[in-house]
Amino acid sequence: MSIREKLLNKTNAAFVAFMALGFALPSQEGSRSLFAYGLAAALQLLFWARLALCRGDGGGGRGSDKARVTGDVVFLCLLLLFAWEAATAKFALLDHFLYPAPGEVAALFIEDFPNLISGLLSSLKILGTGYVLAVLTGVPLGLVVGWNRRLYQVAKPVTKMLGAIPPIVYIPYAIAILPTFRSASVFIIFIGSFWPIFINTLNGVFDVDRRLIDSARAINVSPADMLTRVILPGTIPSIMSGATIGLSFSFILLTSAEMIGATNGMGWYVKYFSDFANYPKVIVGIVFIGLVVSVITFFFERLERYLLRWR
Amino acid sequence: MAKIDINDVYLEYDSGSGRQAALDGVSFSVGEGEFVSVIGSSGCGKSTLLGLLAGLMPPSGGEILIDGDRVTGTGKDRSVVFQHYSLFPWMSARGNIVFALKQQGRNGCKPSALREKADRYLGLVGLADAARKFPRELSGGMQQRVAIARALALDSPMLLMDEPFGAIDAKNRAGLQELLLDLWDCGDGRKTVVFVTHDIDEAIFLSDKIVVMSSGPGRVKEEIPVPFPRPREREGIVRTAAYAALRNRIVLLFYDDLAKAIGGEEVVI
Repeated sequence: MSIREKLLNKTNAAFVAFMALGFALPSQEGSRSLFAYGLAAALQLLFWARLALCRGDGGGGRGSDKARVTGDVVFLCLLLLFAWEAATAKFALLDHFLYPAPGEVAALFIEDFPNLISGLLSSLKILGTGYVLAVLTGVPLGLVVGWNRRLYQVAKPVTKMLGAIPPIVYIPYAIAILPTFRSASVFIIFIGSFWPIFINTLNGVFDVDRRLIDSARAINVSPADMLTRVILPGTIPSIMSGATIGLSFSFILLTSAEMIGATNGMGWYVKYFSDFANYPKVIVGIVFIGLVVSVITFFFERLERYLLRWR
Repeated sequence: MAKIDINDVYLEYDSGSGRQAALDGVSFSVGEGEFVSVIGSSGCGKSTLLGLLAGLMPPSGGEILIDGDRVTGTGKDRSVVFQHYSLFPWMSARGNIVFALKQQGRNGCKPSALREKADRYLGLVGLADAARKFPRELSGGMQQRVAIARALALDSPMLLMDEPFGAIDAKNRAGLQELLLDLWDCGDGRKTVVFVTHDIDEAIFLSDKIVVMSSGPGRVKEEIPVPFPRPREREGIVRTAAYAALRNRIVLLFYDDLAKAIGGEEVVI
């Protein structure tokens, strides 16, 4: 990217226009526009940091490609922010009670951050316990059952039936039979992510290439090594797709359960403040959940790429 | 006593519409240190026969004896190279060899000793630099070299090869054949090799004896000794009259089979 391209582009133009109009026009009372400008500036900084990382390499390189994508994304965000700010803080086109200004949401996000984090920790404890339990049981069980022809034939119809039940319907009953809300949520997340992980592991074992298994038998692989060093790695692609489905189920189940019976957590946060019609905080909660899920998914994809680096 | 004795082996499988014979009355023997090729058109059961020799499945009738003992399963006295998927894609070239060595009950050996051995054999096949690469990062020919290095590193007295160069282009294939002969011929005592192929020139160049099979069901049609002295030079033998005669004889055996198939009721053109 040339210096000219770095300076004169639509993202920079949008940022300058946003700032100029923002300071030129008066805002409605209580819309805390400074925080909206701060947010825009943060996005813009992200773009500039990307630009700085790709030094004038004449364009075409991977770095300048990434910078271009970042520029496009930041441009889109600025546009949306601009529309939101204009419709609320500047021209009050929308009902202020239902549609807070972006500055209010950004300010609350910062002010309420300690509460958000404590909610996150409470949620992650439940999610982590249930999900890890599901992986630790679903994968070994799937490997053993998938490797044993007779067990596989029994397990197949059973999993088809039980795995087809939407796990969300377990929530009321689990809350009724289990002593604490925590144990009930862990149980529901476990059930919800166990089936996709188990079923995918099972089918993955079945799909491991016969020729690889023959090759393993030809070098007299021990039964333990057959499962852990041949079948397990051969099944990892299926396990990872099951684990991904399980993870997204977990988020849905976790937040649903928290909305029903929790006294803390990310889902509870949204439900609690919407009961008080505190919609700015509801939006804060929704945005925060979005960020958390993106971060977790990002690291999950990294892990998947590492585990499948041989492909 | 021969190293390998195949006595009247019969094998049938479920074809969906009843039992079908894949091999019928197959008998031949392989001497100690002998290089024998099994050749035939596709579907003649030659790969199946190799699977039986490897012990991957039992024959439905007859028996296979190694050193006079009946084969009942896979064994450490045999190593196998397949056409595809000999190597585990999630292990590096070195990892594949070390893993195989470990299975041989060399767990007692230090890991560093196993790694050293693996690297030595990778060096033998000219792939010292590829030790840390995954099979995906290697060409088909290089993968087969790793598979051969693994089979040789196991140092078992018998080597079973199922069309190992079937998917390799002609030029690389010639190189691999020479490499195989070199490695087979060096060291103390030749290994006993059973080599399945559908390439007539490959069979002649490599073997002491060629077993020609016919299909439907697979039977041994003829056993043909290959008289050329070793070490062999490809250019030296292919121009001789003996080579042409031998090649013609095998080609005719192939055609014979083909003519029968076309002359029958299953003419599909």
